[in-house]
Amino acid sequence: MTDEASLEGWHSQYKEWAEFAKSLISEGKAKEAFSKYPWFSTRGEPFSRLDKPVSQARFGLVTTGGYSIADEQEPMRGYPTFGDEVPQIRRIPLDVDRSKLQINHPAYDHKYAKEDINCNLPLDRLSEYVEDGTIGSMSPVTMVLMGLQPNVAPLIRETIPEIVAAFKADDVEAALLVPS
Amino acid sequence: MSLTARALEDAGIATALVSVMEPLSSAARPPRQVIRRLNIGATVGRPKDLDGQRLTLARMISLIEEASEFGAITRDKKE
Repeated sequence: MTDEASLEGWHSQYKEWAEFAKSLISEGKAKEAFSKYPWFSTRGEPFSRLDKPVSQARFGLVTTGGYSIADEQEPMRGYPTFGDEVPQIRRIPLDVDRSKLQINHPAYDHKYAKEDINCNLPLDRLSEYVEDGTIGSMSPVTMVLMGLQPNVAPLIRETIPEIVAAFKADDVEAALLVPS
Repeated sequence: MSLTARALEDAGIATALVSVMEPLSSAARPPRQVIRRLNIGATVGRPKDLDGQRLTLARMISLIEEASEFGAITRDKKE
C-alpha cells in the first residue's frame, strides 16, 4: 500500500510525541501538544481516472462523522487513544432510519447534523443524484470513521485496507470523502 | 481522510475529498480536493440548504470526472 512504507520513520517520532502530548493534554493544553505533532509525510502520487462517465459509475461514501446506529451498533469510541488501537468503522446503510443515527464524535459541533443529517452525511442528496441520473449508483453502505486519529499507523495498516476491500468487493469505482 | 483517499486511488478507485480546513487536509496530499468555506460539522453544506449541499457534491463529482492529474483542487471564489 502506498503510504505504509512511510510509516517506519514516522512511528518512532509519533511515539516520542505521544509521551510528550499525554501530559499536556491531561492539563488541558491540547493546542500546545498538537503544535508539536509530527505530521505524517506521504510519498507518491496515487491517481485513478474513471473509464466511464460518472452517470454510469458506482460511488461510495466515507465520512469521519463518528456515526453509529442506536440500539443496533456499539457506539464508536470517543476520543482516540494515543496507543496502537485500531480505529473503528461503522457501516451505515443508505436506507437507515435517520432518527436512529447517533453521533459519537466528541470534537465537533453536532448542531448542524442534528438539524439536517445531510450536512456531513449526505445520504439524501446522493440518493437524489442516483434518481436523477447524475451518478450511476451508490454503494448500499457508507463507511464511517472517527476523525482525530493522531496515530496513523493502525489506520494505514488496518482500517483503511478494510475500507478499500469493502469498496472493491462492492465494485465501487469512485468515492466521496467527507471529514468532520 | 486524505490517507484514505490515497489508498483508494492506489486501489483504482477515483476519489474527491471535501475540506473546510485546507492546511490540515493538504498535509497528507489527497489526490483531489474541493475546498469550501463552511463549518466543521457542516462540511457538505448548511442545514436545509439543499442547493448548497448539492453544490459541494456536484463539485466533488465533477472533479472526479474532469481532473487530469494528482493534486487537483477546486476552491470557492473569493467574495
